[in-house]
Amino acid sequence: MKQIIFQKEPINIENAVKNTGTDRDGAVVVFIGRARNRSNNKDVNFLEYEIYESMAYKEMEKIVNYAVKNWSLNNCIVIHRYGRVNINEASILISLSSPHREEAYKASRYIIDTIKKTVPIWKKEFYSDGSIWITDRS
Amino acid sequence: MKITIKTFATVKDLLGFDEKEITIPEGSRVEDIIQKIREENPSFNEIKDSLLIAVNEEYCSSKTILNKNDILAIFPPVSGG
Repeated sequence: MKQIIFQKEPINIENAVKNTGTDRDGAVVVFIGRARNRSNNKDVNFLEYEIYESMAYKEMEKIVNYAVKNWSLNNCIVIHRYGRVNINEASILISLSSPHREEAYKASRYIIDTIKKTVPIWKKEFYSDGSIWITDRS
Repeated sequence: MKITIKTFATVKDLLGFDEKEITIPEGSRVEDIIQKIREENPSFNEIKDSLLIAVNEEYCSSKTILNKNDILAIFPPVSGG
């Protein structure tokens, strides 16, 4: 099962994790990217993500399809927020399962690293004295 | 012929539009359009990041030749996750 979701609403983490894993899987790996309150030596109030949704879906599909095939994943769920994301909230969740942990860890790492390079989504950090688009792929 | 330009993030802020239809000569390459935008919008040169280009939702190079009704998206390096 592959699932790619872009949404404005907060991510239901428990639900996504509960829906990951089949009888064949010995490993479920979950990565959660969160909005943190400190960046560029400034206090961050909140984030906003802009998305080119139709293209983002295509790029995400390429990443997920490659990961599923390459690391024998049985489930792979990727949920990415857009719009405003408050501090402490999850901006992205990757939940996947495979028979063994090694494949699951590798796939999770590949997916988040590649998303940061190719999926057309942009993060804007809001501080008390202004805002800035982040384009350094950190 | 007509094409649509889409912009995002810093590019959108500098150009002041997120989508626009323009008329271009047949056989135009992406780099010709970028050059035209630079000439018409001096502030565009403030963008220090390398730009990414997509035509019809697929990444492409600045040498790509545009066709009628293409959607040309111009944006800075992505920062999702």
